[in-house]
Amino acid sequence: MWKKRLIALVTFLAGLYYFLEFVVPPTVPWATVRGVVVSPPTKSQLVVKPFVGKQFVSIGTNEKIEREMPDGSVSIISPSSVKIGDRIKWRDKAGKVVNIPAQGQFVIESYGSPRTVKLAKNVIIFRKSVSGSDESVTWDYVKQGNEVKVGPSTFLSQWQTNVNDFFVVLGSLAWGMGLFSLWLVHSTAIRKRRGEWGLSVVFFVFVVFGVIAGYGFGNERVAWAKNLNDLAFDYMLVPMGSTIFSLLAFYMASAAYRSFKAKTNEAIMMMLSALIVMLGQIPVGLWLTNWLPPSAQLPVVSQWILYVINSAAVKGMWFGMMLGAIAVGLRFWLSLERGAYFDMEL
Amino acid sequence: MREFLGNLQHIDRRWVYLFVFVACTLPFIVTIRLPLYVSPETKGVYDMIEKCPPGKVVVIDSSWDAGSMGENQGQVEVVFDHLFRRNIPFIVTAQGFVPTAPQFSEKIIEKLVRTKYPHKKYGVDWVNLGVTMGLDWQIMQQMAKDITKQFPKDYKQTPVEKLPLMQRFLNKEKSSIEYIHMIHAVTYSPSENWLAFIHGQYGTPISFGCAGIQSTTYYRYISSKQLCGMLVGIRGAAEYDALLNKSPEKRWTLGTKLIVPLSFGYLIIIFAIIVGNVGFIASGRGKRR
Repeated sequence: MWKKRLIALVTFLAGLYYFLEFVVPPTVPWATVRGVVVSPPTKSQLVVKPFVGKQFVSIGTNEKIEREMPDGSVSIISPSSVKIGDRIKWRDKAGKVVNIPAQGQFVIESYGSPRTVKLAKNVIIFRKSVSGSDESVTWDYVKQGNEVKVGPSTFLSQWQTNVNDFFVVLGSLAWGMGLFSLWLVHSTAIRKRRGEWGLSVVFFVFVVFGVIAGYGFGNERVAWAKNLNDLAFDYMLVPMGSTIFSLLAFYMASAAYRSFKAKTNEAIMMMLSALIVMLGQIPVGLWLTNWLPPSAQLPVVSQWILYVINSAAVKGMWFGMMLGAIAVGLRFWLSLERGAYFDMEL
Repeated sequence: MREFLGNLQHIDRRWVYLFVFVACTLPFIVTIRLPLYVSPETKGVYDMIEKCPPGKVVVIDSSWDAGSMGENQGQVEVVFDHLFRRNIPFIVTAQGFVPTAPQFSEKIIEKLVRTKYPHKKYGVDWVNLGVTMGLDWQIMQQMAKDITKQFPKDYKQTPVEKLPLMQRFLNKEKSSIEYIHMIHAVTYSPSENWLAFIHGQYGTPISFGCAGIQSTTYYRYISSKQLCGMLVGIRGAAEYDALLNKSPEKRWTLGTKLIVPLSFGYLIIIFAIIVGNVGFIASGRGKRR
């Protein structure tokens, strides 16, 4: 019973972490400084010209404005080229554009006097990239002129990498367990001389062969290893992998023949659209309908089905699936899920 | 007659297999040329590569292996060819449990260099950073921020510091994503996280190369302009090849080689569906619905 409770607790805490990480801002809002770096940063401090109050600016259409890019570079532009989010400088007025009520009229967040921000261990720096997004960086990635957001961490976002690494560790464990399980199954089969135990020997031979051949990948210095790798890759892995996958073509044709029947009106509609899309996907569709006006040719009709009808259906389907996923996620999170695994005694 | 038609729905499946085999093999023996319609999703990828400004690189996330080789190989062949032709440097990456993926891409590039672009140099014109594992969105975020941290060595275990093409990424003044013009993710079913974590956050154009059967879930992203384009299965590769080479004789990729066999295979499936339904209706079962 205690194992179940432990699993429920760990699941709940993990879910709670991700929920809080999503809701809580990465830095303490009232202690965060947003602005532009005014001098080369050091390991211990950052001097930032913060954004303070808003200001209204009206600029004539023939005037020229300096636009500062997030990376610190400056370009000269006309008022009509200014966009929300741009940092502009015109005469004695400078700041970040937050609104453009009319052409040539701008609401800007003007700068206050420079502030020194101490870079303690728990301080996070977000640098605005050219594309406008915030990205977490260390002090040595910041340069003068960069737009930054600096503040003490709320810790949740900082732990994200470690928490996510835990997934990678779990995933690696699963792979290891898979290998271990294969080893157990096949070694037992060989030891007890079970039916087809020879295939288990083949399994071990090829695992060893694969490991040795893998050593030759990208290894130009050891000729035999490279040749072995080429042999395994070109003459075994590629043909075998492609063969297994191409068997699908035969099964699909057979399945379509046996099951795709016009049993209902919906099935007839689906069949017709499938025939149009299939013909539209291949050159034969164009060859058959080349004589028709372009908008009635099969590839164009097929594209219309894919872009309009199919997209609408897929969006609806995903919307429903995601709602379901939220519901199932909540049940997992709160350990309310019941079923084969959850009702098992651990 | 009715009985004969009714029996059409009980043809032994081995006949279907035989027809598929003959239909797919025939175009390899007899040369058949068919007209090709270039779809907007293929044109989108082509146009985005054409727009690549000097100084930027293109990232090809080529995370496929033998299983989906038939569909994905052509999709990277055409893009590599295009990038070499336009002298656009590119970086090849792979992620997930596809340990042989870098080998597949490297074989294609080596062949291209040997046959068409002998002056192209590894480390200068392209780099293959090998495969990395982990949560895909975490890898994407790290690639955007500093690709050299996610991939400190290339597939030959050469440190990226020694590769001239990677020098720009060692400069910490800008994030790696600012040197990347676009990302072309090619695999059986590319992750939609490229759209959320790269396009959504940085605006970097993303294009996909995917299996035909997976493409239906991605068309909505082209309509919403989150994807700049997509190469759909063999068709996408063949269409791209047609954009690159106006003359059919010059087309060489796997997509071009497979598009006619694929067409014939599709025709057999269509024929099988029609035959099966003729039998179904003739046997009277169609009326009882």
